[in-house]
Amino acid sequence: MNRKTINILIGGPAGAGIESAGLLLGQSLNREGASVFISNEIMSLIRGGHNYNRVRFSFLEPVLCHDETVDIVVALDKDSFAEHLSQLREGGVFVYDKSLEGAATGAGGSTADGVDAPGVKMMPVDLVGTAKELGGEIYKNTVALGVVLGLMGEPLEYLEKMIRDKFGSKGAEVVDANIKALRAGAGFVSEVHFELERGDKFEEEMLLNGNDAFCLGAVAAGCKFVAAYPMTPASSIMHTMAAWGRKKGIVMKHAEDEIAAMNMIVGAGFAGARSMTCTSGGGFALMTEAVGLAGCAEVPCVIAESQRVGPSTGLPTRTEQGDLRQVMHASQGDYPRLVMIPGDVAECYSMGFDAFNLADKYQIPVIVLLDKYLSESIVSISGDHFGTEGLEIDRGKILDSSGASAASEEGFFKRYAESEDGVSGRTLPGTEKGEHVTTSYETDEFGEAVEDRENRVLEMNKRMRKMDGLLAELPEPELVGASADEAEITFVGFGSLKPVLEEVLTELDVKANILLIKHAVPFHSEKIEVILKAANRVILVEQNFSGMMGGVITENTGFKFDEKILKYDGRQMDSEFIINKLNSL
Amino acid sequence: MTELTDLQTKTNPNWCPGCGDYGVQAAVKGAIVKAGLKTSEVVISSGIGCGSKIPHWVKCYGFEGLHGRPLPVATGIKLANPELTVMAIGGDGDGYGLGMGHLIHSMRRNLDITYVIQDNQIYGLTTGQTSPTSEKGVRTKSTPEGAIEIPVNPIELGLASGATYIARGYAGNLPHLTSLIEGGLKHRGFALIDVFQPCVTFNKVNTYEYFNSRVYTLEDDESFVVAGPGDPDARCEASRRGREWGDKIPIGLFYREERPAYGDEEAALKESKPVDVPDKVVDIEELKSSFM
Ligand SMILES: Cc1ncc(C[n+]2csc(CCOP(=O)(O)OP(=O)(O)O)c2C)c(N)n1
Ligand code: SF4
Ligand SMILES: [Mg+2]
Repeated sequence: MNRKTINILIGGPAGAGIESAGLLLGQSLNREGASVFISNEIMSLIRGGHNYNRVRFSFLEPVLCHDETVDIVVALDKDSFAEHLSQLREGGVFVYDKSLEGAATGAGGSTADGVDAPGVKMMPVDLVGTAKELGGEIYKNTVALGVVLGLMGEPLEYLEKMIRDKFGSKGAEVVDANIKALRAGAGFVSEVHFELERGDKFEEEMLLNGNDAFCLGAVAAGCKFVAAYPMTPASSIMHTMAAWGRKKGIVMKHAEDEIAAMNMIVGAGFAGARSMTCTSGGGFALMTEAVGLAGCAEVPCVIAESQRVGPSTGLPTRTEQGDLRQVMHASQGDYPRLVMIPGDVAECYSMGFDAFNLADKYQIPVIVLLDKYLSESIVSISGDHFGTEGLEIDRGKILDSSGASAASEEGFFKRYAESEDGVSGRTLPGTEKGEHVTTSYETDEFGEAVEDRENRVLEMNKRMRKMDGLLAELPEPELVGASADEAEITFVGFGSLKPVLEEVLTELDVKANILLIKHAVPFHSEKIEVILKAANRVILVEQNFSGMMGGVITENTGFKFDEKILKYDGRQMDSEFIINKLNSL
Repeated sequence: MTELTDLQTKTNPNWCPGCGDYGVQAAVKGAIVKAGLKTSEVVISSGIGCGSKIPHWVKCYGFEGLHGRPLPVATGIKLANPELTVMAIGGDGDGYGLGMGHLIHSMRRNLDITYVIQDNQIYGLTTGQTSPTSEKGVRTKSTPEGAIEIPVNPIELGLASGATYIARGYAGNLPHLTSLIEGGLKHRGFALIDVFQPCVTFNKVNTYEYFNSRVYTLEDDESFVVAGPGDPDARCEASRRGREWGDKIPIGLFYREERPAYGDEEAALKESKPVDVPDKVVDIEELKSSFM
């Protein structure tokens, strides 16, 4: 059976090493030259339950996102039968441990294996028994990987090398056992099931997720202060920055709560560091007051908010785009801010970098809105996307002692001096002649709390004026795909739906294009209005209940959406979902 | 050398005449001068409340943030630039109410921060509600039938939480308060300085008269020795004195301990500090290779 792209799902309980197995497989295929996308669906528990990991790859076409339909399932638990048998494509293979044969009966009909799944090959393998003979049940995942490679006629050498690299530090015994397990697994396959179509090797030497990419951008930008409190799916940002701490001089403070974390980064930003925090919706809610503090006091800082399913604890480990309104509007009063929304791993890097420049330049809080799917799915990508050439550090208006003197009156520094672009020069503590109070109160130019009306209006206007300059320098939204006059359909979406929509374009029979919204505040209203009003047929696609971005667009442009594809079950929609919905609209 | 006149600000305080905060302000200024600090290298982080307005009236760097949050801001400042002398100052509601969690964690971290609490046992700026240090039974706007809770004891809280310099001052004894704050500034670690700060407008119980007739200084009491962790008896004594209340109330330094400050043990601060932002993009090639 020929295949351009293969999608492998490994299902089992939490704590069974499913994620590591998927990663190992993905890495070895990537090293062999494949384009790879690895995604996980996990429950909010540490042991038990049912989790799965999907590795989708191709040696022929770039793989941008996940696919709900799979070619091979490796079942390490009973739940996998009920959950995944029906997800197999015609001609797919269902590999399961022999001991689960009873479970198979429960799930389906009555073949020799106890299951009647038409067009699917059922393949019981003694994974556990084989593993135990080699030294322990722990090796069963490796046996399964051997089976998978065998089914595809893939050489074992890449995975064997991965095993040596990864487990080398654990000793020769572990490496040996794993390699034997892999070979034993492949030995269970008597004939190759899938013939993979091949093209040139992909130059996609890096495998990383959105959080990783964001961290690379932050480090490149000189971020050296992080304060955060763990919350899925943002936690890996704090882990990564902490791990790089010693090497790169990054102080990562695990704070007592999100309120503290946010106030700490405001303090560090005021002191002159490039500072950031990371959290999800619940933690961001706690930060709200201090985000406003940064806006009012005009302190640069960066907040990565990775969305998960809300409200409240919601589905803590699943994906959604439901915090858009929260990050846009979290506030007492009005203040300038920037909300950036990367759509893929490359944009996580570039926006992660830009966020710090823009925060410094406009002396505002910058929010980078991610979601679980983008934060945790791993893609293969060329290292060229993470270049530093051409990038510059722009710290905005930071004054030294003589600059401070020039901006002083009678020896008192004007921290909030009037200026055309709304941005005043600031001095960092330690700078002589720059002493002043940075404050959460409304103040005059000197930072002295005053309550008269004229001053309030003046200062408010000064701060909000920053948004004009900011909007002018943000890239305008562009259509991706067919040209505006050719496209029969224009999809509108944001964030992690980018690669999914891009895949839809490659699968549709009609010409279509995508309008991705990358900045929610400030908003390119005029450009977006022009694009949408000229479009033939507009379909809003969002991973939330109410079509939040659609609402934002309507507010800003008057454009109303008649057709919407929305999903809010905590699992990212795939291209097939969108196309099916499209057909029934 | 910094002189008192260098600390003069553009405006003058607007506290009620006779407010204990004038004493705190004078003591903070005096301590900065005595400790020989440059105004450009001192940062005062405050919260919100009457007392929290203090950064406006001590000329150095100031950050007047949110109610209850002077410590996290101070933490960010100190960890971003350990060369600065960082103080946090705020009211009893600010520090023992909203900010209580931050306080306990800051003490166990032993951040090198001097924290002065203007403890007037009342919420001043919000016109007189009960505070975490109000005495049981006190009638305020929010407790018209009398406060039901017992007050927080800052000295015992400090001992239990790992502060390494624990003191109590009185705004009515300026030389003593000044030297306590000076000691805190010189101490490498977390200094908790609770200050009796009469609120002449809303607290009609804990007045100057109340304190004048009750306070005695530990420094003048020969039977009291300040001791650190190596002396469990003295530590117990510090705790006992911390509980002393009624006819006699002690002020002074209760406890001191030498322990590495948080920043001293932070690996990332060994070679640089976060405020040293490079003017060129940071090289990430090595980090990138970890994803290959
Ligand atoms: C989040 C928040 N909650 C409530 C307030 C209102 N508020 C301002 S000051 C204050 C209490 C002040 O009491 P204290 O901290 O003891 O300071 P004092 O005025 O007595 O010096 C309160 C509740 C606020 N500013 N912010
Ligand atoms: S209300 Fe009390 S604490 Fe506030 S300024 Fe007046 S006397 Fe001082
Ligand atoms: Mg008070």
